[in-house]
Amino acid sequence: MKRGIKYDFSLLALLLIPVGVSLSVVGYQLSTILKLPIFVDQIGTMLVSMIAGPWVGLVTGLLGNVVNGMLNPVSFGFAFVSMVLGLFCGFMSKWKWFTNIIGIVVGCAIINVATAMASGVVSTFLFGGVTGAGTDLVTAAFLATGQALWTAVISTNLISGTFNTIINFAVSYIIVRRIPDRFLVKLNYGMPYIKKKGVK
Amino acid sequence: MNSSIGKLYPSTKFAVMLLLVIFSIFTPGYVMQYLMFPLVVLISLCAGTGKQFLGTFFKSIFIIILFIFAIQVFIISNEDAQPIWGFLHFSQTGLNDSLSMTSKIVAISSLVICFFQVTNIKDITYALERSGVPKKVTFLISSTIQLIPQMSALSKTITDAQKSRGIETEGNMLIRAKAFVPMLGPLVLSSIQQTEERVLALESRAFSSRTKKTSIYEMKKKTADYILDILCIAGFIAYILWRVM
Amino acid sequence: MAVISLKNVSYRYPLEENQVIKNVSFEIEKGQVWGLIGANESGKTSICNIIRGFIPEIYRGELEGEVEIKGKKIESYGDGELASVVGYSFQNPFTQISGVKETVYEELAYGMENIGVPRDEMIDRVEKLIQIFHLEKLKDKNPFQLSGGQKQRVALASMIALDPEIVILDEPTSQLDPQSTEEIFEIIQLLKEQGKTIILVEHKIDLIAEYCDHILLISGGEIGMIGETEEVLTDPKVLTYGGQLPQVVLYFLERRKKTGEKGKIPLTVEQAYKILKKGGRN
Repeated sequence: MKRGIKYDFSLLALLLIPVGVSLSVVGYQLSTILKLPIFVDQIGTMLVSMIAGPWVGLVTGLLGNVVNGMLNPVSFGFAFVSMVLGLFCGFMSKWKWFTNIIGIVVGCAIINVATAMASGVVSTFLFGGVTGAGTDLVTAAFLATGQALWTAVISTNLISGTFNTIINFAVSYIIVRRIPDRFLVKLNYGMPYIKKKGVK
Repeated sequence: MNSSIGKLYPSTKFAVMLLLVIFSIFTPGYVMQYLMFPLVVLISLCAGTGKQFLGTFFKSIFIIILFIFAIQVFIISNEDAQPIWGFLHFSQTGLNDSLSMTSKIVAISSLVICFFQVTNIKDITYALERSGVPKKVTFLISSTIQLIPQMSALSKTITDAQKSRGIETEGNMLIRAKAFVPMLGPLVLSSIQQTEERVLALESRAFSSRTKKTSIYEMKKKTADYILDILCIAGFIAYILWRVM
Repeated sequence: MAVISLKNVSYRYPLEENQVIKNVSFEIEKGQVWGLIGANESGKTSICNIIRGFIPEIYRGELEGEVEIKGKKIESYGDGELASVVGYSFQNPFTQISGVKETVYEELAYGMENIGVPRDEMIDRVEKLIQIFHLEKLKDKNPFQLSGGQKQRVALASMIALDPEIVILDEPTSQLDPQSTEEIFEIIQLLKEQGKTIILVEHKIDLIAEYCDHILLISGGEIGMIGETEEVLTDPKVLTYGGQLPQVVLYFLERRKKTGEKGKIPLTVEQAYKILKKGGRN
């Protein structure tokens, strides 16, 4: 079915984007309150891309980083990572990967690799391998063992990214599963998550 | 925002920022780039956002710059590395790389931070709308900016409520991680529920209308804007000529 | 000519097996004020959504039958066109603000901006609305910071800003205190005087009796009773359809049963007072 990107941006989808963005911001705040070592700051992007599709997900990711970027311009650079995340997560959801456990595992693995690469590219070329977060110490440790910058950065990203992806995905998935059918049915990409059987 | 810089038309400020960003990217060396910092501080002081600017800069960019120097100069094993102690060594290549990289980061970040601090988002969306950007885009920007503080406030209320109901926010990591979902769940579900109703409310305000949108808020370009616009164009042309010659 | 006309309209929500609206037909004339009553979940809000075109446009699902607004098929209205013909105000005051404006003043103009009203005219209309709706003290506040009643008033004003000919009010006062309720009804009275066609969904049946000239009683997705207020709301059958009767009517029905008196049953306290006064003299 060819419907074009414009079709994805219904008013409902458009209203979900700010919610997704604020969720990411709030998720970040809550992570700080709970003093978690991992920032649960991608739930918004994941959640929105799952139920509203890859392109809406991409915009959510972008906007989230732009909003953070007004306070911390480093975030502008990493917008690319969030966009990749939204896009991948959205397409996988569209292809109904997240309806079974194998799909979820494979999906998360791919998302992890893709975002680790994207983040590696950004941090290596724009910021000399640095992200400004605590994980930079891990990168430093890899470098100290004599690894090249690019491999050290990617290794760090893969390790920290695994926890990140799993936790962010788990939280978003639990929430998506709790969204009432009545709402999912109005969304262009809500169908895979509708609980009632016998719906085309 | 009430300073004379704050009152400039957003596209004027954007043009100035863009020109300085171009200078910072395409000029070799690092001296000019580092000089952008005092320049931006000066602009911020004139606009009355000096304190704000320095706060943001040192909280975000300054740290990352220290990290870059540390990693590039002392840790990465370049060929010219001179051992200092253990895995630490000094590398001239690393220092040169850091200087050229951090100087650009400092310049561009300072300009961007400053731009957003002296420009009202409302003015930006107004200017975007006037220049023919689709209504959906400006809507997205304004609604996000308006929603975030509301959601933050809401999350604080929910956190307090959950705490008073005895949900553990202290203790070991697993316990704290478990607290996350019950804290966020209600927030998400209620905000999603609200989007559903807000669609109807917005449609009742003719959101989908295809007529060109007008605006009750008005902002006009003033003489200062035109002068600055011309200066920017002239500066750009002069820069190209200088770089090519 | 009817402003609103429904012919054999049925509707089923997506994912649901049963129709919530079953073969409903009725017509509403210009300038009439209709009270839409019935038990919870009887289909009142669905009827409103059908008239506004939100069903099936936003709710999706299956709609059968014909709906005409001002003699024109509802499907033939373009995107956003219906907003300035049929105004709709909702139950929940908290979701009715646009969420993109920093002040009430700008919030009031948002709908007009969308339909491209020129700036000068917008300012005129907003000033007028501020006066009518007593928003002088609120106009510079952020809409998010208002109380429920204030939001409802601002939402109503923003809807009226588009000057719609038909106004749907879906339980506008259900979440408001008595003071705010009174203010909303003052506005309804004003709209009535301006000759707007009004559809009012409301549980406070005494207020319906006072303000509406016609009643549509929905029961289980079908029309239970329909007609002029004085006929419908004095008929005890209303109760069997899950509707309510005004206190005054209940009292008089009881009284008539005992005394066997004949004559018109009053709807409001005022009318009752007159009758009782006359009765006392005789």
